[in-house]
Amino acid sequence: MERVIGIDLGTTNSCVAIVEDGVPTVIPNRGGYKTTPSMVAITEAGKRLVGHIAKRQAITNAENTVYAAKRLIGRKFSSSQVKHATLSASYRIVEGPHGDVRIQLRDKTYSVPEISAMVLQEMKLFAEDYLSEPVTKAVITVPAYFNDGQRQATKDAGQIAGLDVIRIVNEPTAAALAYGFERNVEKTIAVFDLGGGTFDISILEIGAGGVFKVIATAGDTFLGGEDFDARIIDWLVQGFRDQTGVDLRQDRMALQRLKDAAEKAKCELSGVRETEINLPFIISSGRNEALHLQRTLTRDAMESLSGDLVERCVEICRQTLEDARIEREEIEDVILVGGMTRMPRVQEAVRQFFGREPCKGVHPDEVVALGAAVQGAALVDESKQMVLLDVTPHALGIMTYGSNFEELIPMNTTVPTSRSKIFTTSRDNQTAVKILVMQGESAQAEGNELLGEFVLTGLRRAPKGQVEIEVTFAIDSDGIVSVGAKDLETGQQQSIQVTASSGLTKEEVGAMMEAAKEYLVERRSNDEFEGVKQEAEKVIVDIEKMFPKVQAIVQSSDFGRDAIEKARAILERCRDAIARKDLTALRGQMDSLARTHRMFKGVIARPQG
Amino acid sequence: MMRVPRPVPGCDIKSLPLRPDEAYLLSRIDGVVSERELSLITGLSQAEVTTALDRLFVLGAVDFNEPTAPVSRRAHPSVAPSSGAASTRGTEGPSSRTFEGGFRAGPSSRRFEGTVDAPPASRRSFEPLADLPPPTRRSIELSAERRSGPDTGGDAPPATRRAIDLTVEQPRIVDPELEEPVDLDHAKKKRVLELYDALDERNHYELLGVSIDADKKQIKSAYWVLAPEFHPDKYFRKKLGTYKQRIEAIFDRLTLAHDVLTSKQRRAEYDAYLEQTRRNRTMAALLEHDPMDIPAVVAAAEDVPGSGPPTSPGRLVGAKLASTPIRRTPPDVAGASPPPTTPPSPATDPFRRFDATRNEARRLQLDRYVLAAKVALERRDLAAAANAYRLAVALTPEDEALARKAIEIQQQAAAELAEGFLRQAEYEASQGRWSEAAMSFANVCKTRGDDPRPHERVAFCTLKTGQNNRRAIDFARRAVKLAPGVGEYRLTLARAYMAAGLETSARVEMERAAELSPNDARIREAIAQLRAQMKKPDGADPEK
Repeated sequence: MERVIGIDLGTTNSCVAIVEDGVPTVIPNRGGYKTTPSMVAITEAGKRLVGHIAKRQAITNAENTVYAAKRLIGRKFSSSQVKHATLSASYRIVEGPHGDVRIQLRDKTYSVPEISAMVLQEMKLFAEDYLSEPVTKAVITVPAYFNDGQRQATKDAGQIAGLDVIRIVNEPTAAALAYGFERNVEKTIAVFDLGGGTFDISILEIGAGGVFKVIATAGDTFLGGEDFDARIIDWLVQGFRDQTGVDLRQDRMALQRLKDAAEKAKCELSGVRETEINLPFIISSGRNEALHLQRTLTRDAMESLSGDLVERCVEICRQTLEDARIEREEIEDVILVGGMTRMPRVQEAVRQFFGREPCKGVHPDEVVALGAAVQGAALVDESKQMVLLDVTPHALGIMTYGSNFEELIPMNTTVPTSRSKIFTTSRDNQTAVKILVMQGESAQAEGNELLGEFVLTGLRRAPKGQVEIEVTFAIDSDGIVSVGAKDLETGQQQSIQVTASSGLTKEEVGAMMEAAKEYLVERRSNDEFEGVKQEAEKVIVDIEKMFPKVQAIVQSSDFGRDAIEKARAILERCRDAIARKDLTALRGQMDSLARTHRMFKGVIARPQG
Repeated sequence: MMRVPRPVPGCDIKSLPLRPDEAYLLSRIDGVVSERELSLITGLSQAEVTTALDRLFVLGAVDFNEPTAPVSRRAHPSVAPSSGAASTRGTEGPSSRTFEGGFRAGPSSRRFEGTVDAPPASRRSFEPLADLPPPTRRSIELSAERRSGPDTGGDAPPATRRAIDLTVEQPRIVDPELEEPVDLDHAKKKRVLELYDALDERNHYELLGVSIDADKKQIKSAYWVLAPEFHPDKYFRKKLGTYKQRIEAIFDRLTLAHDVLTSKQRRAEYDAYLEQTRRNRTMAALLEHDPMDIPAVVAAAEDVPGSGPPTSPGRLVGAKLASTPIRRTPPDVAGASPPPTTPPSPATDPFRRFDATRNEARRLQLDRYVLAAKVALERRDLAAAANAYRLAVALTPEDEALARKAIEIQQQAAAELAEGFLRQAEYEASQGRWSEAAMSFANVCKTRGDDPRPHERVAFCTLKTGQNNRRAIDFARRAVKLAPGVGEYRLTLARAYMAAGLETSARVEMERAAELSPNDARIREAIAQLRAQMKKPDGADPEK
């Protein structure tokens, strides 16, 4: 059976996992780390860097290093969140051809799914290294509160990375799957997921037989660790300006350093009560005089800087429980997910709100990927006793007269589900109706996201109000929305699958997929070349070391001199192949090189006579 | 529907106020054919058969076979096909061949509550708004069911089979639905088809296979078992064809049942609703009783003096009183009547004897009716009381006091029924089941012709269904006529006009509504909406 990997594509860090012999396991990256920074950079030489290596060079290459791309995925360039991000990001955000968001790196612009695909591709490679077999199927997680456009864009990213995304799963739900997997518990739990960029709260019921039923889910897609960092950055920038009159925001490189320092300080404050932020030579004052930044941040100060953010999380929890009509006492366990939940203030807030100690048994950084892997395994393996009953996080409906939003499927409805309603024509002899499919909670159509539109044609000619059209909405377990419209009199019907616009056309995704494939081929051969090169260089160095000795021993004979000449030629050809990065030529020389190596070693080992 | 009626032995059919279609139906009932098959055999629609059966049941002419011993809920889904087969080996006949035996809550709930989702039984006299789903899909299904008979063992007793109409013996029909090439085995297909077709007919308890008094834990366990079975993820990337939609629909309903029954408040509302629907149904069935039938009942009773006391009146009330201790009363009274009739004394004048017997029988019967009425009244069973009084009045039309009493009780019963329909309607409206709510409100209007509120509600709910704007206008107009000074009613009327595209009338109504309640935000909003619509007539549905 084909293996399915689970990928937690996070705002700041990503993680990949697989179910191995029935046990969900995190796959470490090449550096041995279990999580990989979701960062992508293009070097001056045009080389692509992903993960830790991208993070390490971020300061010196701030303008061409992308972080937190997830905050932009599936959003419109005109949205307020993107505007906000444009101000604080060290990389350049530009408008794409469909009003989508593009990122300018060096001389090229990339769509957000392309950037995410680079991260996904990396995760895929780690998994392939680990399993020593190709991987094509994946379950990718997204914040529960992502709308259809954001989900579709994430799917696109997977496709570009050469993955068959068999399911998009909500992060808190995935965490619950990992938590309850084969533990055979019957419990109502809350998952409090405060990640790098998003906050989600989900209430689930775990039932006998491995049934996971989501009762309610809510969140904020622009509330996470990044916002806590931003508070610290603001505090640093403000303090620095008061001190020196220099605005650090003007300098993208300084901003990147501030960002790093803020994140580091935030993490440290989870363990210690105060920490020093020390950034020497942060900026030049303009009179060729370097300025240094040095401040002490205490945990209390940090908590007062970000108190409202924590309060926002708690407020969303309160609202969610209220909407779902669940008493706090009914929650039997609370799972903390996401790096931000390490912050003592956050833990305290959760403890206070739910009136219980949060569960300590799960790893906040890995649990989501593990859950994604569990879901993947359950889908392809029929013998797995597990089924996830998820809900739709947003209401679905259509636009009616006066730009009103007519809800057909309310939020937190268990999927799959379908609902229908009857509408009538609004004009005499109207032969077609246009149906605008929307998602959101606002009563006004403008306040909601337009998912798609379609036209039902061939209606019977009749005075207005007489033709009745039954509109049916269905969401399947993949979260795919299909909308059907039926003329009740003639039976004429039409239906479409609504695919939210991710900001990219099919052709664009296809082209990006091809580009990613090419990159992969190039990179694969590069990797291979590097491997062979390293091996060859090791042998060359060894041979060169022995050269004088061997030369001295065999010089006396013609045969010896001939052998020395041959060895010299082989080394020359190898160096040449390495210089030209010619993998085939280098490979061709490897046997001869090894033979020479053996011969040299043999000559030296022979007793001198 | 899957219940299996059987004739009540000893029931004197001739004494019942039957209509020809009911009598025809009764003649086909043999305790083996199921309700659905009856529909096929008689050519009556499913709804007609249901209505007629309910009436026959209330009249005491038929009873329903109890489901086989309940299958353990937990074991149920996995063993479904075999449990179905097992019950076939019993004596039950076609209906029990389906797995539904295990699903049934219990005999009592089956009888009344089974049709929660169908219109009330009183369709003939209380106007229906919407029709039941067309029976076409069902009839295909029926053939599937029958065809599957031999597959599961073919052990239906041949004798009873022959007793059914010849349709049953027709050559096998190849069911296109079962033949559909999908990645499901035959048993699974059957289970999906059967459950899918039964969705409309089952209440939440029946669907989950739990008893009506099941606790939250039992309901949840039932759901935990059933939900995964019908969750499409269990068939991930399998070819499901048309089954996908069916499986999803089943899952959707299971989830609704779970969600309603596990919420204390929603369950209480639902239970009250079930109880209300049941009461309304029986009550309507009793009251609907055509008074013209009553002399026929009496005549029937008089025509057969020698055949012992007619069983019908006792049954009539008895059916209603079933399982209460009082039930014993009418038979006891009846038990007194045989002595004068049974001893044959061939020596006396046959005519005089006949007259005496007839009067005696009549008197006894009258007493029985009046007693039954009083007993019913004590139990606050107005419908039964009204019925008994009506029968009594038919026997002695000259007794004015009795006639007045009968009318009084009849009115009280009607008022109670209206109250019941009102509660039913309010629940339906609260659940967004607009067409049902509209129908129930219309039933309220039957009795409360001068109450504007239910009329307005009919209009409101009808508007919500988006169907039959004419009717909405009609009822809204009546409401406005009854209470011209209420802005809200005018607003509803205006909305009805708007829905029908009568913008000028809508505007007039709206302005009047605004005059009456100038501070009503809804009215202002509606006016704004109307203006938008008039300005841009194609609004959200522009012509392409």
